[in-house]
Amino acid sequence: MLKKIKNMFNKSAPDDQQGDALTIGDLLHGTQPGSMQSVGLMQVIPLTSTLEDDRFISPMEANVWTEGYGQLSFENPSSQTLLIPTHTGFIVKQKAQDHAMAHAGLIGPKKQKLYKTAMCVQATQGGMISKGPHKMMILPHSLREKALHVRKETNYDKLWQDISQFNDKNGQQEVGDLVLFTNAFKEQLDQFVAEFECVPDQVGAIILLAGQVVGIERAPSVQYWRSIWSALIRECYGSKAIELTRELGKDVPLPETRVPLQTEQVHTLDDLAQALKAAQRAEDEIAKERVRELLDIPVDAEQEDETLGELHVQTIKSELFVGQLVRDKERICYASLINSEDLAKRRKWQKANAFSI
Amino acid sequence: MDDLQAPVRVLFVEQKSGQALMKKQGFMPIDALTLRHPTTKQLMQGYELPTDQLQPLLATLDKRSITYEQPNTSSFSTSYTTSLPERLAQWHPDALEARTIGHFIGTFLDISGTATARATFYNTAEEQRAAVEHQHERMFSLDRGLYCALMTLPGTTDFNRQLAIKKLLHQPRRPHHQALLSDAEELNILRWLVQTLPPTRMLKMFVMLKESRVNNARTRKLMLRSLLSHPRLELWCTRYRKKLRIVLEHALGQRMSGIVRSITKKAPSSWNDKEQNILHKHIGKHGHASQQKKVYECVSFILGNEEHLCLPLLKAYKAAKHDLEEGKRLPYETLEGIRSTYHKEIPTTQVLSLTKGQLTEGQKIGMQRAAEKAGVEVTFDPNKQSALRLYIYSFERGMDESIKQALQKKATQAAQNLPTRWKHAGLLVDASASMMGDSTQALRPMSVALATRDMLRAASETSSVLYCGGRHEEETGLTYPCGGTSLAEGLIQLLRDTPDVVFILSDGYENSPAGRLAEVIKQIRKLGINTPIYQFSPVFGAESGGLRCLAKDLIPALPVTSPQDMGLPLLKGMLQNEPVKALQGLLTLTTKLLSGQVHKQMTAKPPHTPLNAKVA
Repeated sequence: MLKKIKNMFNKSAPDDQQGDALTIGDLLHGTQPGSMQSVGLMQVIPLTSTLEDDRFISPMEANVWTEGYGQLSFENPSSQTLLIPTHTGFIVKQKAQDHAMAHAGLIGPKKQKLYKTAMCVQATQGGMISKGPHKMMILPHSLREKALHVRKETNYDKLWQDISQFNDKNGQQEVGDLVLFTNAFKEQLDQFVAEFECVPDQVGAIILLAGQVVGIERAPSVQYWRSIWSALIRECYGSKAIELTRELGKDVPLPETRVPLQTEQVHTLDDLAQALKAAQRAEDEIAKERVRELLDIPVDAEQEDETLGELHVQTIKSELFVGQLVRDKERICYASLINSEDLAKRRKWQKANAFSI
Repeated sequence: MDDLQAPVRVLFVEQKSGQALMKKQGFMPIDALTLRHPTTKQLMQGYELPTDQLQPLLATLDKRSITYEQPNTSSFSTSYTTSLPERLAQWHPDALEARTIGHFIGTFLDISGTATARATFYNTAEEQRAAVEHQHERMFSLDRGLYCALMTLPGTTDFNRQLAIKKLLHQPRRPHHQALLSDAEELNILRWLVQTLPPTRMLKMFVMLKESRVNNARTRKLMLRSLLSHPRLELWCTRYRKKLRIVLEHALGQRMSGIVRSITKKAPSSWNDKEQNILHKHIGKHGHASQQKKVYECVSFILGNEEHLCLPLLKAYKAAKHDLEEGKRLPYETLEGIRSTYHKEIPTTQVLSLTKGQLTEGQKIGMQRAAEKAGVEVTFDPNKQSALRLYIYSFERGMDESIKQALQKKATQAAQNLPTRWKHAGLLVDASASMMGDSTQALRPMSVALATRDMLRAASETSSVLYCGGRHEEETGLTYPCGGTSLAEGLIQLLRDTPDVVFILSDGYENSPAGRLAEVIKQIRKLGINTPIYQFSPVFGAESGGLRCLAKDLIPALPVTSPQDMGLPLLKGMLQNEPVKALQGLLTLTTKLLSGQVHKQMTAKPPHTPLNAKVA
């Protein structure tokens, strides 16, 4: 099974034609799945690769500030390209309104750029973020699809209503202030960073919650991945795990990808070692089966205005996932896909049995 | 506890009738506080709860007629008519009190032996500090004397001592305050604690006191005595002049500092009687009588005067501003400071070349890269460095034979301090990515783990070592952390060799999958294998309020910052079962300090109150 999956990951590269139909397998071209890490409801399958594309830096190495409400500026001080991951945000300690991007961005070496499509994520606070390096986050998973819908709008308050609902759902005051959530669940969010460790050569990950794939992430290089991983696991996927835990109540069942040790036949240490291996094998099989189901899913890529030389940002949609990618001709430099709740509901409807008596 | 508001209280609730209600109210039981009540024989479950929630909860418990009990935790803080060992010997707490105090001390030792002001892989420095301060507040409000005494334990980090000194000075004792230690005993321990801090940390702490506007008489006296009676005052003047000035001005007050500055600006021969009296009253009495002249000159220099200098280092400092070579007796960083201000045209390498004879052992190892770049040969003696420092150095600069030998020697020495030895020890070293540590203390957790590994091997006749994750180099003995954490398989493999003990050196984060190790240990016990298993954790996880245990209730998780201080964590295990005995053992050093040995270790000048006095 492992071999089969590895082969699927490594099938021939996607066509040079941008806008052509891709599959999720294409987006993962050149990567390999590593051993699954599992804590509680969340599992992470690391994606490793030796195809290093070191042309990019992340916003962790850039200067960031706001020039007006809904206007986020970046300065790239390096001689590499600044690739801003989709839905990068900044929650700062200054008395300033926290902001986030509604889409991915590309900024050339030693250049700066203003994005007027950014959005405020802290309705209860005024003020501008001062220019400087700021720790990045990625919007919570539940807000990302909504943010993607409004990526071209230039209203600074375009996400407030969704943030209010998100806060309300998570037991916080119903206002468009994301800080209420991040403060309330700070301890739990920190735990996610601590639990999931980067493995050697890791450039991406497939993230599962309660046994279902909720996100697929790919970065251009190991260094780039390391710089964005804590933002992804903490605010983006960690928040989703918190939501799900709240939904499931106090007695959260272990996901089906977490196989308990079968100890009925264990009488010696050798038996225990066998039981351990069997559980590990079973967990890997389940996780990989989940991934294998995804590989042939076609995705539609829509070209965005954001380009830099041969680099293009594209917005993608599939039966189950939405997100964005950055590609250089056939090469996928960056991809961030989350499972779409809207599309999943629609798919469920479409797949339901036809009426018959 | 009087007017001090304890941040948390412990409440024991009858388990059978109260568990569901406590769960509903959102309180989690503390496993270490489960016990059978000595008189009623009911199983009582202990809970920690914020003080402000206590009264409403008690009302609810009363309403439901659920049995509960609040432990008394002040039975040892009553009388100072006897010496500390006698007081401890007479202390006979009831089961609830003993268990509660054992729990408080145990939790506190987790942080007092490991927490530093640095950020960790998971927490910022601010988060780390907030978590540590919370634990200090808990212990302080339980008993300030016990809190003070615990700071004397070997292995307590300087950061914790700084916090404790600040706290004890900031909150003066009220006349009616009862505590384990008397006022005089507390002051003597405070003096000792200040003297044990490295000078930079001592000064930093004094500056912290200034910033917190702590200037009561006890604080001022402590500051002046610690600085002015120190044999290295002259050297400190050149090294920490600015900080010393801040501290001195705070201790003397702005007005008196100005007066002292004016007097000492003149030649000593021209001071009249009144001026001499002022100097003696405010400066001289805090230093040694035989060193008065030296102290006055140093104070004058600290306050900004550079006239009438006789002391060689102070003269060198002044002369180096005109001729850099004149400053070759000065410490490296002092001369480098002068160069960067007065001799910008001279390269920094010349400073290293001039002062290489003055470098401390710590600087010698820390400046290897700079020395190599400057083409200056600076050798250091590995035997004079700690094992932890040698590992950090080796990760950065490479391992050589002399370091290997020094590490071996240190491991053997540290092993001799352990309370026990083993025939065959199994060691499981977690080398996953999180053992890398934060960028500000890169590879520190891994270095602690490796130094601990060496010591445990030295304490065993034979040993087996397994690495989980990471890249291990057999030749150098170094292990570079990377990858995830899967410890369960390694544990089974180690147990096949039938060791008499297994040590897991891990930060406590498991993800392949989480909880697997606990599952395996449970099964191992079912198989009848009762080999003791300990987890030694080289980092303090602020986010979990203490150590992160890999298998809660199954194996003890003990903190470790340096291998030579591991005896303390081992004793910690006793606190749950034999708190009185453990406390007596833990406070051995405090007892020694108070019985007179403290003189030799702190200052040549005896304090006003004899240390072994029985104070009423």
